[in-house]
Amino acid sequence: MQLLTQTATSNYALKELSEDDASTVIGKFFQRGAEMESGVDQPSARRASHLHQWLLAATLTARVTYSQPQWDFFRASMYPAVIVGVVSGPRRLSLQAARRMALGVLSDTEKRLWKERASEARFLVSFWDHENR
Amino acid sequence: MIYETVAADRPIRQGDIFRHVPRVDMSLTSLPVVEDDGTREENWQTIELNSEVTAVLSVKSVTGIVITQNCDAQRGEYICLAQVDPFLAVLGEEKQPRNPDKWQSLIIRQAKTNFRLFYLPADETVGFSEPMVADFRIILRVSHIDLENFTDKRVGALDRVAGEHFRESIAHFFRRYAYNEWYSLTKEQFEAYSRRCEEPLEPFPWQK
Repeated sequence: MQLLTQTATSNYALKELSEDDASTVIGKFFQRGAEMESGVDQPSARRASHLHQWLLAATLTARVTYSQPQWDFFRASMYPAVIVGVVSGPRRLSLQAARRMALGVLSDTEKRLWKERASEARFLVSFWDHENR
Repeated sequence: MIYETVAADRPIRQGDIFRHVPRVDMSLTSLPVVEDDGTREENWQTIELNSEVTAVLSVKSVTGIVITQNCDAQRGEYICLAQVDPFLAVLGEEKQPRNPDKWQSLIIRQAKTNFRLFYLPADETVGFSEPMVADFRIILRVSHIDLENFTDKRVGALDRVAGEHFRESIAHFFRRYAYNEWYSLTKEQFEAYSRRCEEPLEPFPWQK
């Protein structure tokens, strides 16, 4: 089980998010949505975009938040993802760092999820392909 | 094709397809907890048992299909949905099958081997511009009341035939037991099987 075991580190805040990462993707997603809603009117698209960014920030920092941990993903029977976290004491964060950390979790989860699903699908059909050759 | 449109006031049922469902991701080892005096990074293990915390979490908008059975969907506090994603992307296939024969081969092969996925053909009436799959290993939990107020995001539902296949697929997936399928192989068969796996396997004593 070692080859496909993935390790997640805990310090998302220290990661530099690239152009392809979640924050950028989500930012573009909201901007695109705003532009679509407002047609070709660019100034209003920008205003709507700012509104969406404020809404996103408010959502991410809302005091009332509920969540459902994706337990099943972390203990997937066939390709387990082992979380190796460094247990450290509480560390103060700015809201910006907290947001970056949350988006880093999303980005990493997405990457692991797509990789794991494709890998499992290939493994399962390999027996079928072998039998039908 | 295998979908039907749904009146806005129809109760939520298994097989209903919703767009824009929130999926929350979090890390237990690195959780940004918000308190009166600011935000700090916590490890879930260090947070007191049975306590409640407020945290900054990422939320992604995804498409989902209701897996909760109809009675529970009417009475339960929560409704569960399986995340829906593009079929080829989930399989890691970069190219489309070239013809209908290759398509059917890929679809049937997956249906027979990969029980976590339920195939959903393309149909613009439900907004699927390409074939999709429901993934039973990615479950989204949403408040019943919230989802009831969200029926404008219900783009359709599985029809009767597809619904029957869907419920059987869900039942089959969740009633499986984990077992090592190589237990009955001889030493030589196990070695051949092991070569095909991408991961190291532990032989049973009689296979060593």
